Amino acid sequence: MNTGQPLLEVRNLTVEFQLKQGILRAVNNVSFSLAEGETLGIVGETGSGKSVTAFSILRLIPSPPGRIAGGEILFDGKNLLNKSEREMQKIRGSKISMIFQEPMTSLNPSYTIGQQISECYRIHLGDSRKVSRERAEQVLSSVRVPSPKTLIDRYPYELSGGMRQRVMIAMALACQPRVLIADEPTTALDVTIQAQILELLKELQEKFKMALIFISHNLGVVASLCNRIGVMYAGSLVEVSGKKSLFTKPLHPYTMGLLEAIPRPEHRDRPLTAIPGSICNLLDPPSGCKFHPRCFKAKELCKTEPPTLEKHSGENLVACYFPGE
Amino acid sequence: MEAIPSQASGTLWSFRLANGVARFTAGFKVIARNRLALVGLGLIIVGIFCALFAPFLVTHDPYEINIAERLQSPSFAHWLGTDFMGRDTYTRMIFGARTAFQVAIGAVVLGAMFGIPIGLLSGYFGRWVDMAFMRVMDSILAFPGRLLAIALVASLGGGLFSLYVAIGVNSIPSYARIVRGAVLSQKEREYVEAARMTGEADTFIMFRHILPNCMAPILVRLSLDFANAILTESSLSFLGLGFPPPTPSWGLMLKEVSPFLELQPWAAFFPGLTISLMILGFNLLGDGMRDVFDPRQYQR
Amino acid sequence: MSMLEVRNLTKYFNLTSGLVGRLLYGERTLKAVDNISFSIEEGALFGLVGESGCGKSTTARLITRLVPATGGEVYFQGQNILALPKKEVRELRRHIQMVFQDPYASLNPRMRILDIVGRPLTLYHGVTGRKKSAQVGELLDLVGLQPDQMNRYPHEFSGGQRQRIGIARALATRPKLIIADEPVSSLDVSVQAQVLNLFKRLQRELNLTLLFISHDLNVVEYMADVVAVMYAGKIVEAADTSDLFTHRLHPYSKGLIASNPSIDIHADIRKLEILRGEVALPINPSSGCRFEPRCPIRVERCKAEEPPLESKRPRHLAACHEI
Repeated sequence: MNTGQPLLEVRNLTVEFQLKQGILRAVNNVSFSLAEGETLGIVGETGSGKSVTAFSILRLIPSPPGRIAGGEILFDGKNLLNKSEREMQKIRGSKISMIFQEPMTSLNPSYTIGQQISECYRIHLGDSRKVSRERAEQVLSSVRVPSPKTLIDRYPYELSGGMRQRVMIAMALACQPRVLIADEPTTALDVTIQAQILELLKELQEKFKMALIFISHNLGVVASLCNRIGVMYAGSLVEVSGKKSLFTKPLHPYTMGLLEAIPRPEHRDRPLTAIPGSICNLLDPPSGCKFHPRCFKAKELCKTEPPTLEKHSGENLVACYFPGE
Repeated sequence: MEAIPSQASGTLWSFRLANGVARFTAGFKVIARNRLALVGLGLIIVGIFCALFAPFLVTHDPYEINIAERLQSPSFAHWLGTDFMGRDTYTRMIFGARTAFQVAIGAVVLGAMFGIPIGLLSGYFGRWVDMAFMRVMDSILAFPGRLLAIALVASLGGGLFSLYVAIGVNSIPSYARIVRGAVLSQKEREYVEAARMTGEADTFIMFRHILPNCMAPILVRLSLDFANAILTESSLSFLGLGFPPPTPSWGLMLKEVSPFLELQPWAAFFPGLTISLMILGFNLLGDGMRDVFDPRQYQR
Repeated sequence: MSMLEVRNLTKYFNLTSGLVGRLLYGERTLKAVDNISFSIEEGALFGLVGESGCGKSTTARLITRLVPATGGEVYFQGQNILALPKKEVRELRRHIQMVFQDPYASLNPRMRILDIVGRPLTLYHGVTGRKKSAQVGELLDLVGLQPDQMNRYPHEFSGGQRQRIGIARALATRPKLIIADEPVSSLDVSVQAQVLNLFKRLQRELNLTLLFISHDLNVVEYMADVVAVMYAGKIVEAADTSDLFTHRLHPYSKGLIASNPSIDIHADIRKLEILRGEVALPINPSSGCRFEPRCPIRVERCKAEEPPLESKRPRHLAACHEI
């Protein structure tokens, strides 16, 4: 374990998709780092590239049509992009795990819960059938499902959405990974179930001292779980700030817009301040800063040169020529 | 609230015309992207061309018997040789396209004309309507296709109409099932609910909302059906149940030639090849057609 | 007289299919909407909130008669619309319209916007041709779209724009009541704000009455004047919005509001009063309170006896024995 060096470091990651209509740059020169045990939230709307970034870390982007066009992903100092598929398979599920949005499609409907969780132990730790089953039961109880002994023999279709998500978390945590990537894990769940899952994740993250990357379009959800939050727009990271700073003093105009757009009862009497327009066409993005057509601060400079993500104050980074108030 | 002045309405009409043309060319471009579909389309166009312009494309009279020149190999005089009665094979092949398409169009139209409305009504109204129709469809499906065709032709006597019925009846259940399935999946979609909310009549919803969204599988089926119709007609003729001699029909040609295969092996080759090519063409086109009707193909 | 009054509205779905199903599983009835009553004043924005399976979407479809009701009455401007014969339902749709959740599925992908928005004009106002185009243009302008886009197809528009088209279509018949079923749930936050603003503006300008259905508490708290909370087919609490959010009476409302992730920087997930258990689906429900299995304040009585929805404070109804 290296102290001082970040656990996971993404440097200048660029991911493109080759489509019939042209090349779509889904992730554009994105850099961020994640320390041991840190919780990082990545927030963005449709087309922001947040999910593609997450999938790229584990090299799960289907290629073709996608390809990682540039950058490095350093895990414990070693570049994941240089590893072979075999080496990546050893990392996925054991050192870096991921949970997804739709638990029904992420779980194999033909196998029992127990079989699917045991698989992690058998493949990564080489456990026997008996041992892996015991461990599966243990990890199921750590995700607080009622009666793990009976659940272990059930099939995914017999479980509710919240239960399936817990099972997925159990599978992801089975081998005690050092990084957990959660891609919108609660978006498809009811609000009360979402709260349960978020509470569970927080508890497990603290217990196992895992680093967590939590991806969502919901700022509120990310706020409850993460200490640092990155905001993505049209493939680029536009701001990375600590939780407190982001909500009290947002730096990037897009972040400000997102916060203003959340309906609040105090503002019932006036219209919500909506960000005008809609996201640019990623096949043919505007020149300069991609947000400039919708930005209330846009000046000439913004239309010509895209700003880079730079330190603003303390730990906060922003990609804007006129950040802050 | 003013009406749009006449100048503007003229522009509206020309816009609509231009729009229509634009959509057709856009549709063509989608097919063009799929090379195999283009090949299929080409084959079919050749076939239709032959069928339409047969008298202008041929070298001889398809019925002209010339025993002295029977069973000849391809030569300058007879491009594809002659059959056992001395008739020019090439000429009969071209006219064969005419008979093949005649039957195919009639049969397919019959099948679709009955099958599609049955499927719509079944899927949309459900319950006893559905049950009644589907039981009838099941009874048709219970018969093996060719057997049913043979039985129908035998009972209805020969002639074009009985061929239409014999081949067409077979395909009614496929259309009905395809359309019924498509209707069932579209029926609960929000745009249908929205259409009901806007006060549309049931028939309007069925024909103008749901049906156009089911076109893709229908068109694929149409192409395959054409292929099947041609094949069935050939089979029936081969068995002597289709067109009577001396009609130039590919299947009949195969039948006539079969006793002489030892002497003229390639006499069977040409009719057989043409049947295969036509069927291939329709199959390839079917795939391409499906793409044309998918609005997402046109996304910028 | 209130614009809409719902009394004892009920919808049961029979889930058992066939003889074998009945033998194996017994009679299974999904009591999707069970004896609910509420009323909406003219010009008000009524919010109906709840999680999946609570019956809010079914309620919308019962009121618009897209789905036949099992029981109860719905009075629209004094007239029981559930008793109307089929022929007159069409006339009813002139006054009650609906906006749907999925902007991608609620527009016919094969029709041009001109026809999507224009059909109601033709059907209800007999408008065709140039007049139709002109009016469609006006409607598109009213919802913030460019009128010259009317010859395009739905797939050429973004989600937010499609939702606006859906709203324009609903406005075409000049309805008095619009039922919006989760109209912003499929939209990004920034687009959601635009559409919410549009709803508010239209309500003001056209004096519309709105029944707004959502699972998002932030949206409902911002938009609605009156809110009703549904759980497992029943209304568990109903009050003026500010009242309900300040004095949450029913334990489910408390848990629901507490579960709502907020951007309050002092919020810590562990401090929230999280509800345990699964969201109940009202299949063969017990005769007692449907929330009882999850309820933190339940007593013996709750299992056997269903609590009635009654007034606990001025203009504030709740269905619970313990408050």
